[in-house]
Amino acid sequence: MNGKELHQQLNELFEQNPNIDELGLISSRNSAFDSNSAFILAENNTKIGISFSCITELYSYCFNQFNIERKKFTSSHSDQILNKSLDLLTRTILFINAENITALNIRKQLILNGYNEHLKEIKLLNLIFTKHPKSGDAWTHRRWVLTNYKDSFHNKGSNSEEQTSLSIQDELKVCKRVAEIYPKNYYAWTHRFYILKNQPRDILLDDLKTIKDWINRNISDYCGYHHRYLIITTLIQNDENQNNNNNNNNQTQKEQSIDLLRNEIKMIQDLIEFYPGHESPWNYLRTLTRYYCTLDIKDKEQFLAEQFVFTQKVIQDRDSSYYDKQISYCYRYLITLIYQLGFSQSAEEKHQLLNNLKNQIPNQSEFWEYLESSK
Amino acid sequence: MTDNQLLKEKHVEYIINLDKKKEDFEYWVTEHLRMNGMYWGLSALSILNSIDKMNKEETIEWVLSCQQPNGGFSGNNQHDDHLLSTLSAVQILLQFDALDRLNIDAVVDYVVSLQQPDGSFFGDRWGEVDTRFTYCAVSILSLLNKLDKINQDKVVEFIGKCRNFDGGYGCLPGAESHAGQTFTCIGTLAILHRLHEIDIDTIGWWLCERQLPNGGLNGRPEKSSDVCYSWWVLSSLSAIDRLHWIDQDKLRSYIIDCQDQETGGIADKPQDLPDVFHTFFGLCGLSLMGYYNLEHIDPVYALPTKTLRKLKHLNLTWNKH
Repeated sequence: MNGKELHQQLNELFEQNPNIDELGLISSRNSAFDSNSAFILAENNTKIGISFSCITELYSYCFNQFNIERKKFTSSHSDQILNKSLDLLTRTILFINAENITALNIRKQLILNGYNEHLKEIKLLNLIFTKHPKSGDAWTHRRWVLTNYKDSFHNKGSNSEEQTSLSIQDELKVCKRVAEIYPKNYYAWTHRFYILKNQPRDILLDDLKTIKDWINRNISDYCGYHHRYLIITTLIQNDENQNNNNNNNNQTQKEQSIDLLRNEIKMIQDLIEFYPGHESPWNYLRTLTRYYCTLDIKDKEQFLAEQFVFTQKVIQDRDSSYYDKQISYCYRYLITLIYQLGFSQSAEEKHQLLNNLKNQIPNQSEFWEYLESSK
Repeated sequence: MTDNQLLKEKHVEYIINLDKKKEDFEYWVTEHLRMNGMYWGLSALSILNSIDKMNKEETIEWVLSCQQPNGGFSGNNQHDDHLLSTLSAVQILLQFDALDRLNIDAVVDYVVSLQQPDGSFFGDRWGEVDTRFTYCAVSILSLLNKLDKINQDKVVEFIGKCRNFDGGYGCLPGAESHAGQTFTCIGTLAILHRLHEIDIDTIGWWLCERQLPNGGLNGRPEKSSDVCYSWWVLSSLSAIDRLHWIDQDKLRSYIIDCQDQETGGIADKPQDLPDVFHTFFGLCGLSLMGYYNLEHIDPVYALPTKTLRKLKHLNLTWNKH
């Protein structure tokens, strides 16, 4: 089959099976393919596989054809046959290469000229993410679609039925799913906070609950911790802003937010003890501690003393195969308490700590030397 | 690999043969990045003192053919413009000493038009904001001596908002610290002569924590090592004069282990297939650390220091070479 026939066949498969929600590129040596077929459907025709052997043919045809037809396209006039053809060609291109920004940009214009709907585009992106979860340009395109949707909604005036069709919950679900397909996925987590940042308190609190479960299953993924950090600090910041606006009723709410932060520190300490030897929760604890000390709080001395007690408890807990890693992170945390936050220790104790670190993390010897010479 | 040998000839060979491969799968899924690829390949040859191995006139013609009516450059002939490819185009033309053939005013107007009231930059007319785009804009205008056309204080203010408690920077305000984004933010501040805005101890510490026991560097906590961070992390440390805070010999060995003994080129990790991106950044790392007599690369502009020295308006306060 040539590229044109492959593209047509793929389009027909999508027309006949509108519920396809997962995409894969599959080596044709896979036994699921017979030697002649370029595509395979599975699980009640909801998953589609494209044979690797036909991809170059399919992609080069679609890209060349796209470039020919793109020249005829102008945003001012609307030729439905051309619109449809560009829609299908760019779809196939993105299945194979989701970073083709020129194809993504034509799809934006197909929304602007009214040919494509925002909701349909989001659904297509959900499908593309199952194969390309780390495509930064596809995430960028998604944000453009959401922003344009909101803008066009404002321009049109109220139409609640349409507005509810693109919901926050759907966005959050996609972010979670993609973060699971590809752990430590910077794009998915950046998008998640982009969706949440201006949401009301109860939605932020709900998300904190959702992500608690997530970090328990993804101990070494810093993205989840950073996300929690953003939510907690956003809540505290929002309270500050409201307080500045002379809203006295907010004092209790502010205390609740600070409690949230204290509970978070406690939770992360438990996690560190339960799963020793992971860098991410330790880094998160360090960040939370630094943040806590910037707040206008009265018990800073006592707080630092409690943190110190925690480190001593960790150092004494030798019953783990990951003890070496665990104490190297613990020593690093002690450095933060002493050198950055001013927890007082004798010169001799500091010297001993830096010596331990030189043994535990020799790569950074010069940095430990620097700390020693600076105080 | 025990003798720590850098396969210079093989790497040159690898790079000049890249453009001869046409029409295979790799070609099609990377053709939209050709401008970046050309910059990586050409600059790698510069580091290896072999820039004359490139077809100069043909390359310049092709680069110029990618300038769009709005002044920006696209990643290849059949594509839309973007700040990322525009910076690469300027970097290529500069290395060929061909900036006089560029419609400079059009490029400057394009870049200036993308700055937003909060100081950030769009990557193109569709409106995505990212600290990478800020770096591209500031680097382009600085190389063309047109920094006065934008609001620099606002740029610095925006970069400040992207800084996190660990000292690192993300792609947007609030986004997680990432070594690549940290390079773009430190680079921007360096070009604007605002390195004093940086908390050097905190970011320096976070950056040197990126070195793993195998000597390689990662870009975020608990990620695996990757040769490209030999650029993003190392250049940032170099710009703040803290290169010595990591174990350079161990990093050298890690990069050397990522060479492909047969084909030349450097991969992201030992045993992986090489590509031009990691070949360039691996060589950059070795050059910054001063190994193998390589041409020195500037940690802020990602261009050979000797090329930058020809631009009399630049003041490379961070560069002692």
